[in-house]
Amino acid sequence: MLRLLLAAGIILLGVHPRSSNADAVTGTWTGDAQLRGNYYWDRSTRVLAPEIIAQLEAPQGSRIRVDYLVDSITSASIAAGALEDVRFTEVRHDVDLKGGHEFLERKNPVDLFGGFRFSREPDYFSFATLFQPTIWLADRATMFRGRISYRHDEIGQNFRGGSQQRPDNMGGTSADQFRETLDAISVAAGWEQVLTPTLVLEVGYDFTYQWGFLANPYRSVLGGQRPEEHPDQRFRHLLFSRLAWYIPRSRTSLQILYRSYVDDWKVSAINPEFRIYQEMSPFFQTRLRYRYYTQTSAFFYESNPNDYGFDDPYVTADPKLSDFHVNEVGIQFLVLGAFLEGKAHRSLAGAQFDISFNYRWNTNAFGNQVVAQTGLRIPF
Amino acid sequence: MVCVAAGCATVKPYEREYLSRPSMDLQREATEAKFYTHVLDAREGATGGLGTAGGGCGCN
Repeated sequence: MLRLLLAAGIILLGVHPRSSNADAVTGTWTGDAQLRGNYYWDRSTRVLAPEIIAQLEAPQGSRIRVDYLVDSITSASIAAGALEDVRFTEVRHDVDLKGGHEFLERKNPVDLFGGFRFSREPDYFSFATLFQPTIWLADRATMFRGRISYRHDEIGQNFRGGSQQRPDNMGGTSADQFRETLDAISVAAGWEQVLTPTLVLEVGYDFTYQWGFLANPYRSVLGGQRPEEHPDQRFRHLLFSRLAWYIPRSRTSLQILYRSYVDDWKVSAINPEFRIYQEMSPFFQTRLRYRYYTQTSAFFYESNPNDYGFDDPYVTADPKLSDFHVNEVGIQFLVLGAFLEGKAHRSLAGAQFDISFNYRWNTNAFGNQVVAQTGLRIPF
Repeated sequence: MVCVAAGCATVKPYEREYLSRPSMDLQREATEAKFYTHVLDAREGATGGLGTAGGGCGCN
């Protein structure tokens, strides 16, 4: 079975393991191929998203990465603002092209990384570009990373249930006449520090400025009489941190992650997360996680969308602008193929397989949610 | 200050065996995090700090 999966992955990627099977010592390229399956479920939305990823690394420090994901949304969604209770399938294609180069010969190595991302679905197109420089100091005990990204989205409409006409109370235009844009610039800075031989700390700050159409073209309030209308810009600030501690005696890693967020729509959030990684054997690892998320509502959010007036400047029916919280638990199993060393092809001996399941108890209109993922990574 | 207080400048590369364990490297989970982050962007009001850009779906 594993051989079949390996063959399928290699054929899909159009590469052969023997064509690039060395490393920096012999001066040839190395890399890996990954196949992933992603699944999301809540009471109104189901998403199935297969993904394929290929990475290549040159011995001189250059690398390229291609990631292709297909989102298949298989039922109506509150987030998409379905006007009728009809099932539909909407497909989103997401292509991510990235490359980088690490200048290894420097005393303090520098890595320059960047790329492009394209996403297309019937009513939405998104393009993003990213540049991310990193520098390591003190024999790589200290790392500073910056990131700047720009995103441009083009937003359209497709009415489900066969109608291509925007309802009269939302303008009455045909779906293909609705065109809006949304842009965003994001800058981030991070610092990672080795504190002791078993302790690492990471802290960072992330700022995003969005401008343009920030509402959802399908959602409405006052019984469908007024389309959603949000402010046309948003300033978002986020602090994040991670403390990771390895306990050699039990081969356990404990991690605490924390995010705090605030924006000018008066949404503020905190998000602590705890993870335990346990090495059960050299070939098998489990990860348990608990995550808590809580946020305040936006300044223009009303819990009853019929409480708005026609002269209110901003109206929303977006559940993620409400006051809510999430409790989430997750488990992951990771299997390393090293136990096949000497028994199977060396690509299988270097492979890893993971499977995870996360359940989210969510208190807003989206309801409880499931995120499940599986992946197979094969080096070549 | 944290660095100085912990004496982290003295942690040499050969002392970082445990830090190279797969469980200590979040970058190893970056591909898994991409879809998960996309879910969070579509279902939570806060965004960012998880290493990937959101967007790309009509989930505003």
